[in-house]
Amino acid sequence: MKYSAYVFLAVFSLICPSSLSSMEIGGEIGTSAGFICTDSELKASLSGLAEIELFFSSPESVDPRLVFQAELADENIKPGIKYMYLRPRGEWGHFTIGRQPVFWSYGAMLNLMDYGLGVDDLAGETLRTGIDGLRYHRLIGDGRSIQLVASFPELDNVKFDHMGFGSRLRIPGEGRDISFNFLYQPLDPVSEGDFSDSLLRAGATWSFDAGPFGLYGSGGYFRLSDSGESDLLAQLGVDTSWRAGGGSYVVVMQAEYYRFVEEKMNASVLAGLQLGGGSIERGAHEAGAFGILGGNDLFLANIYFQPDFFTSAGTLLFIETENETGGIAPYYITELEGNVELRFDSSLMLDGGEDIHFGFTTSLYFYF
Amino acid sequence: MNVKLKSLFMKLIFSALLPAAVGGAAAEAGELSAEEIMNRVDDNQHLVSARVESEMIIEDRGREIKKEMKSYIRTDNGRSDGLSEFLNPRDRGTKYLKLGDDMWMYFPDAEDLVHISGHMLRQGMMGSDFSYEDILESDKLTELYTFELEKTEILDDRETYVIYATAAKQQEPSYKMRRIWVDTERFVVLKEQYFSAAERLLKELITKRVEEFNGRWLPVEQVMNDKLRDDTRTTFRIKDIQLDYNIPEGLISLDTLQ
Repeated sequence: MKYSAYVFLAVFSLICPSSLSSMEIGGEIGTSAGFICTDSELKASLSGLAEIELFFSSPESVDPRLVFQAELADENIKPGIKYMYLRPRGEWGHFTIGRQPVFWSYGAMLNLMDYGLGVDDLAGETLRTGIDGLRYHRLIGDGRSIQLVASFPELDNVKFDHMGFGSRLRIPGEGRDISFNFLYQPLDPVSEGDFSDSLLRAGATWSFDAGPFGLYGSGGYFRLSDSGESDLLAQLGVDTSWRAGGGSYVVVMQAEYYRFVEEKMNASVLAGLQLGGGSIERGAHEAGAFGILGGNDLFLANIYFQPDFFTSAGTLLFIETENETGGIAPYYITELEGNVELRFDSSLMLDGGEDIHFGFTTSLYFYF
Repeated sequence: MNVKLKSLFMKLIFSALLPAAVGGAAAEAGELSAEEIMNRVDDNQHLVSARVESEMIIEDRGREIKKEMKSYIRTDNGRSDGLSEFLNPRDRGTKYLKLGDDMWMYFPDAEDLVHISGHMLRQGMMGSDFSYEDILESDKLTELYTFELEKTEILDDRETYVIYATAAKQQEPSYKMRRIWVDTERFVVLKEQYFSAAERLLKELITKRVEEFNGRWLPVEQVMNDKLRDDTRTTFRIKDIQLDYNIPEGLISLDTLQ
């Protein structure tokens, strides 16, 4: 992808020369500092992340997107491209070619039926990986749509049997949102001793209103093609909110639980999805959110309150029963004047009732 | 009776002025009933479509954050739909889509659309004094409330009708009671208070500035104050408005955000 951004700009300037002259730039710069203690070893950490997006004034017939990303970690700066695609549109729908976001969310913190990594604000982490490939999106009326995705894990060595495929039929409606997903994607070995395989998933996600609650969930069939292992996933989630303190602040609570019914699989296989692209954010999963997916069930709860309009303070609670792992991750996020966000994150995790891991991070983000 | 006080959503987020919109004609002598006054407001406020550029300034205990947005609104057969896109750096590209009583939110980074749970509609939108429910409220307030003309009163040098609205039987509007100050000459809502069932004052909306557009007087700056919070207020200010805007087919729909 070394020169691909230049090629992209050149191609797009030929397609629509006026777009470059009215191009705008936006993005964010963030830095984090903190420490983490694992296996009785205390480590300090300092990292940075920058994202720069070029906003083009594009004609209605084509959407371009170009987002650069750079990460500072271990004294090295690692540049990359988060998203880079062209999306021609027509009455037939739209077709996206390049590195692009593919998210099939329905409100869950952990979406095991997503094409991507499916982690949304879990223990302070949202993993949004650009996926290299092709996506066709067709509207079929009343907001309903069909998506077809093909992704390439390696851009310079595309082999058909290494490609990933997915489809989504989405049926939104008044007070509800239902999707039927089918995914077939190659897997990398997640840990030593694992073998490469391919994961097939077929199922549905749903969300709807039930009085003062929002209910959501998913159900699916998981199968590893080579090993033949299979299992059924069931997930149920609920969210609600209320005013407390005489109405002076808001409390929001979200809780969800999933289980692999036959106890043959666990969600950590998703860490091995070969999605291509997005290598920077991809690296976050080993140390972070995916560390709690080793069991065949997981309970997650997130509760936070908003003492003022600009601040959220809360904690995530997670428990999995197979390995008896659990923990909490308190956080505090506040939006400051001048497009600056300040964030404190911490976590305390009990691993099998024996090892204790904890950490604390302070982060600042500037949006421009 | 077909009074359609536009929702706060329409007036404050997607146009900031629809509910409090006004007529160019002066009121005839003060013989109007409360219903007739509200009808008059409605007659003059009805906007078929509009494009609005606006800003929302949120203040909380000395801290101030500004959100900028552009919005499209459309009213058709009594149903109001709207699409609003935020332009400020922190929220750039975030979109809200209102379709009838439903609201959807579009996240630009994920390029995905999420339905907003019903319970969240009672909470502040984008961290402001306005709730989603304020925005989504039914257009037909006359189906939800009965009106009573209390008195006339001078408010900031303008003569106003003071109208008290009470939730109609078997209806459950966002607020059980409202008190509305309507300019007797321009038929602009200059002030509005929202009460709970226990008659506790919950919120107050004040029109700070009105302007004339094509013979219509419309509020272009309004301030909402959540009375349950300490020292907060949200100012909604219109920077540009195009009335009877020709909205492209399909723009205000789930399709356009996919």
